[in-house]
Amino acid sequence: MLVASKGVLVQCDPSIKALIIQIDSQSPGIILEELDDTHLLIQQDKVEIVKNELNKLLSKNIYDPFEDDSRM
Amino acid sequence: MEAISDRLFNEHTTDNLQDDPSLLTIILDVSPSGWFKIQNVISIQDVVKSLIVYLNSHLSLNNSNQVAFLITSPLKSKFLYPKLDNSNIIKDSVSKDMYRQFKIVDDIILEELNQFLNEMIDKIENNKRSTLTGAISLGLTYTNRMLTLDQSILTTTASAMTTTSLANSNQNSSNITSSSSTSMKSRMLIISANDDDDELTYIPLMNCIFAAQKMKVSIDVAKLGFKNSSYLQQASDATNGIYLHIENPKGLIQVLSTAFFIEPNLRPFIILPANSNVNYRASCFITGKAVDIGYVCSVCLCIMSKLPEKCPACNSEFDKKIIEQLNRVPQIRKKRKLESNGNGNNENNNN
Amino acid sequence: MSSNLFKTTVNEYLESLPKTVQSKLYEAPATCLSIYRLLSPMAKFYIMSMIFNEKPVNLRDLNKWCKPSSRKLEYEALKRLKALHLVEYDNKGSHIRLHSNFRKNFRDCLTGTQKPNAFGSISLTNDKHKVDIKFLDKFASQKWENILHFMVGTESTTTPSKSVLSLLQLGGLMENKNGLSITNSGFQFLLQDVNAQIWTLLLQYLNLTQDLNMDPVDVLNFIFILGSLELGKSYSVSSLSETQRSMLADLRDYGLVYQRSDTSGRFYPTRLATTLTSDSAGLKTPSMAVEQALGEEAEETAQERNIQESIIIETNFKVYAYTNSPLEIAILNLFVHLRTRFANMVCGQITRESIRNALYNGITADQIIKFLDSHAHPQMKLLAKERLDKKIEFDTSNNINTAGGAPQSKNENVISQHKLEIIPPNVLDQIKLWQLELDRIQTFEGYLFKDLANQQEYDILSNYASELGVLIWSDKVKKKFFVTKDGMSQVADFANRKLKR
Repeated sequence: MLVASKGVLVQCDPSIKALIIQIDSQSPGIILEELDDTHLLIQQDKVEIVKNELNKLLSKNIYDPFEDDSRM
Repeated sequence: MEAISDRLFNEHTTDNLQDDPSLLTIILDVSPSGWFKIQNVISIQDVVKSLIVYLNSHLSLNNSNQVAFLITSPLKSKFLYPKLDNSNIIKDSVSKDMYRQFKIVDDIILEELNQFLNEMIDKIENNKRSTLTGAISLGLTYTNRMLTLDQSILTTTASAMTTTSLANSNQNSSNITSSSSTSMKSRMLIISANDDDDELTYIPLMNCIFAAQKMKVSIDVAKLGFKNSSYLQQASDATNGIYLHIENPKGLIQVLSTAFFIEPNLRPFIILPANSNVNYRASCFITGKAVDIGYVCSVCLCIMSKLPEKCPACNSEFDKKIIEQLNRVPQIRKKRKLESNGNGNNENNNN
Repeated sequence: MSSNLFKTTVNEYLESLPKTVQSKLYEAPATCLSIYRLLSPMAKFYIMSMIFNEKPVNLRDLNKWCKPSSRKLEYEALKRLKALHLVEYDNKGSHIRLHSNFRKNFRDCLTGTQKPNAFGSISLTNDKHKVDIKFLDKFASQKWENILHFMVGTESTTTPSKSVLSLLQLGGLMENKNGLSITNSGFQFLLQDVNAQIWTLLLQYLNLTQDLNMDPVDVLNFIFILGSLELGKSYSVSSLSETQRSMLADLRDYGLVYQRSDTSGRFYPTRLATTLTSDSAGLKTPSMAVEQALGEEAEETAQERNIQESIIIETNFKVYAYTNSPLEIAILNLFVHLRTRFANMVCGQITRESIRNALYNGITADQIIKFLDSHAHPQMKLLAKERLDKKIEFDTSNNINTAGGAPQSKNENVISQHKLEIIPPNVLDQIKLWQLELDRIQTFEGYLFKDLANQQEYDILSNYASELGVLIWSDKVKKKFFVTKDGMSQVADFANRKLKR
């Protein structure tokens, strides 16, 4: 029987996919289905949450020398 | 990470078809001998008319396109456009309402052409070699100047164009800022009716061809007349140009607007009408005549039809023994008699 | 590349016009010439090869010209030409022909046999109050910068006229929240170069003309005629139609033409108008153009030059801009973290945060780079040129040409990759990387189809979806596929019909 489920398709690279899975494990209910290496199906209303969390996680890895400058 | 860096480079190459301005240099060969032979097929006036329309269509491609027109005869070669001295008032040779950018160019060319032809008729002599190579070098040096000079001034309207470009030719270009993104491309079109190849000087022509290769200038040739010119064929073949022998010049404008209209930035994407049977002839360094079989110096690769002591181009001495061997007149062997003593009849000299 | 931007927007507008309007457009030779110049090089080549051909051309012949690897270019060109109705396919679809009006008028334009006054009629009498190019350029730059200053919100500027304000609002460049304030697209507009900006406003103006009962054909014709006029010459008003005369007042507000008064019998096009249909690289900014035109005269002021070309970027991302113009500073503030301001200069740094803010506001990395390129200090350009020359010299000395000549052509690609790099390449790449950072994930709303009965059903449905163009992702093995929200209803209907059978 043909089923069509509503959601948001996320296209990304494998590393980002792993990050999203990690976000999902912390606050479950985001990912509806894992489609393949580079695609995920997530809940419609969780899109913004995913983007924000992703931004936070990625910014942690960025070295910002200018911040140090301004403190001086 | 690899995916990201790929995208970065892909973004560089999305624009493979830029609309760069281009410079077209037309060289018209008016040596009387060639034109006389085809006088029943077409006259110079008709060819010039087609050329003018072709010029206009080149200028219509892009606001910043430019044109240079050279004329060559056994007497001399000269720039018809751009004119260096603004002294003469230009008559209206074409319709007053023509688009001004076209009109200015066309008027100057037609007026200068008439003047040149009148001069030529008075001073013509026979047996002078064609100065086509000289014209090609003039065109290439002008192209070089245009390509390295600042382009941004020249892309304003036509009136600003003529005044500022003339000012630049008199001044140094040190106070001009260099443009960043547009790069001018250029090509050359030669129209010749000369059938006699020996009139062309081979070595200067080859030097011009190498210069054109370095500058990425393609040389197209529209050959009227009856025979193919092998030197000009080599020129267009070496510079990624088009060589067409036009048998029926009455349709010249059609050929010009199709085959010869391929702009330099379009050339990588279009299949050019290629000439597969180019006659790669060369001419002897010493005598200047065309050579099919000859001698080659192993140091500088210059081609000779007879053997001197030293190479004329690089002055390297040739091995005397080999010269003797090559210079030897072939011995005619007497027919061996069908007798027993066959050893004394061979007259081969052993060296 | 932003010159291509304005071309695409104008092209889009022209393509959206109905066929009859386009046919009327092609009656004017100036319009034909301008439209021709706006096409892609491949399209221009095709048109030129058909201009002097009386008979329709076989499509296969056109195909033969194009290399198989560049088939896409040919396809794009033909598509564009068809959308503009410049070419007509015959019944069998094998031959194409140029639009006859266009062909006739363009040919006339090339051979000089076109209608009189097609390219404006130059005034024959002398003007008592003659103006020179310098004045025109000053006038144009004043008007234009006024508009830009107003958008940015500098206090000392006079407000532009009402028609300009309404254009800005209608174009989405400014919005009315407690007085006019700039929008995201307004920010992007500021970073474009002048040609693109003028066309944006003119296209808005064209949209207005429908409401004002002005014939869009007339308006377009006049705009294109303006693009073909000669700078510094005055043209008489008598050859213009009613609509075109009323346009003159509006064009004066934008700085495109100069007319001494509303009743004056002549007008002067400014540089902004004459370079309408040319490459924008030739027209950096009006005030720069002034400086260049005066290059031969000794009174070229250094200050004039420094206003526009004043930005220095170091490899450690620090930016120094020798400018006092509030417009420049406001624009720089969009994507540079400005720290200190001196009497003749501002300095700051390009940081991840500053670029991100700009990107969030809708500005693209390309626009930022184009802006920095065009406003770079001459010193930077000199340095870049030196570096480029050294590179080329190094290359050619390693590929010494012998008498053969063939090796040179193989290395064409290598040498052509050496472009003039004005901005330090690490800054350039980093800005692009920061933009890519924001695009790490792409999201699509829609529906996932799964649990399909058999392979055949999967094939039928996914093919249908991809033909519609709504299929985003599919997997043959798992028998699942994803379609967009909009395409869902169609695919669902199709599936229901299929399943009922």
